[in-house]
Amino acid sequence: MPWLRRLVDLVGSDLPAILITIVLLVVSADVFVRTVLRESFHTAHDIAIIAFAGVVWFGIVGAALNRQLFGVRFFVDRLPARGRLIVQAATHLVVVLVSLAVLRAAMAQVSTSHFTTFLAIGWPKWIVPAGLGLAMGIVAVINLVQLLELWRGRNLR
Amino acid sequence: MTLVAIVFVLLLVMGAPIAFVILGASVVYFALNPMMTSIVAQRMASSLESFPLLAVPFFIVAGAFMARGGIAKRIYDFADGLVGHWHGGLAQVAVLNSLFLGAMSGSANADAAIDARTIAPIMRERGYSNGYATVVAAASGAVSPIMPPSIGLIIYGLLTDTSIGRLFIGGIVPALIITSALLLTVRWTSIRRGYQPEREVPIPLRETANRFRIALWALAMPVLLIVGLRVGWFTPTELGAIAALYSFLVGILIYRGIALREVFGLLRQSARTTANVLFIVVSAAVFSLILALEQAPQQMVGALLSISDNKYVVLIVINAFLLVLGTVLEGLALMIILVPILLEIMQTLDIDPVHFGVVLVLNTTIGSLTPPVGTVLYTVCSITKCSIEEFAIEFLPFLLALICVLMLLTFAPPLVTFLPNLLFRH
Repeated sequence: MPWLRRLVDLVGSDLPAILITIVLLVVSADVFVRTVLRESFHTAHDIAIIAFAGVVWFGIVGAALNRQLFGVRFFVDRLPARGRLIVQAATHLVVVLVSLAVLRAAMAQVSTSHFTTFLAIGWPKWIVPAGLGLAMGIVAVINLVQLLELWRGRNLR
Repeated sequence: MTLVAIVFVLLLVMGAPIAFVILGASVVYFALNPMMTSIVAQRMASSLESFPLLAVPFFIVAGAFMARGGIAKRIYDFADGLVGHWHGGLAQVAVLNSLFLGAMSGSANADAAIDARTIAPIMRERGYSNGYATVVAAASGAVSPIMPPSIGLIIYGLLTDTSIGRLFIGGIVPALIITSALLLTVRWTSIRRGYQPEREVPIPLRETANRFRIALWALAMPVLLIVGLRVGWFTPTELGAIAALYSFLVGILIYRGIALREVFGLLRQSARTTANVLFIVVSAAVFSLILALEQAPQQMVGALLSISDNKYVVLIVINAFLLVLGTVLEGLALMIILVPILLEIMQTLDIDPVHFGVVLVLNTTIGSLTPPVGTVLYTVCSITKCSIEEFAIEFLPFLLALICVLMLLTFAPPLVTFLPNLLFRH
């Protein structure tokens, strides 16, 4: 499903790149407005924090999709081919389970943080754990697909 | 807690991503000790609501623009002009290059990866062994987390509520000492192995001056940092944004190394690197909560103070403890997990937080270079295709040099604290 991969790539690579640009521009604008124009850009802090959370949550999706999550392969690489395959499969399963556990925690967090908002812009605070939950859901799906590809014996990306 | 430790080690050995190793152990803990379902997500989300932490992506973006925009090449040429005629010329250039690049990227990983991609292949062509070239690329990266701006020092400052400006300034002299120690180590090992200088005689002073002039836009950035911080134009976090914009503008308008169509690709890669680093940070924040719940800080403080109440003895024990832990734990995660614990010891023994921060960051950086678990080690070895065994053997003299510097900084706090005390005197 190339369209699905493209969609995940959009969420995991393009969206974080846009968000990191927003963070950069907002903070720079705040410095400019404060030091040159002697004015205050009071929403800069909140916008930057929200976009920053998006960079991390969705960036991890891109890292998972591109197999750039850092792990220690020293011991696994010393296993015979079959053993390595089994451990790799187990690792994907572990990531799926952990992601789902974090997703569950994020959903619980969303349901309990309805009444708090970012003070300057008034956005609800639940959007941050909601982003985390969405990212963890996608990471779980990516790892399931990678597990499937491993099982089929395909070279993964 | 024993089961949590077993899960942690098991996932680590299985090669699971570090962040998921930490999260996996945390999830098991909260499964065995039920609390609010939301606690993991709550801790992760709240640890990102930190404005100073924004400096991390800024310096990562700055590093990407510098590497691509031609700043790295100008710095390399200038470093070559200064030390290329010394024994092991190219290796010396790599070390000096790291000092200058470290003054911009703040990350050992980023800096070592640049050296591994650019200088290490040339070293191999000139007859250096792959192991030696790899080790030089990795070891020279040890300067970056100490030379301001440093991602490690930013995170330490956040965890301990220490002035990041003071930490940055406190890193300058230690970074110069580390560079000197590495230059001497390269010289000693190169003479033993017969690695020749790049040229017999130094290049003419006029040519060095010309290279300095060309690299001036790049070299001006650390000066901008110190002046901007001291005058109060911007905070260290905002400085990161300015540094990223500066390197973008220099790369695109002055050195013309970046095409506009490449910018989005660089931002994509920077966002991914940011996520990789900070996802470990937020995961470690969850684990540090577990340690607090288990009252690990109090137990560890008690254990350490039962050994001695002399701060230098305790510092040696902490250093040894961190060096051992650094061989199996990722540096940033180690810092986030242990700093809240060590903070209590620091306060009890009246240790200067700036001094301790620099020592701690150097210690965890050494950990990132030592097998079996070292982020820098794996970054460079994956680029140069060097085996861990070969790396471990070649790394020994450099490890010794770095530990000597660590001890020197531990026992001579003024080497760290003199400059910030001078510049930040009120």
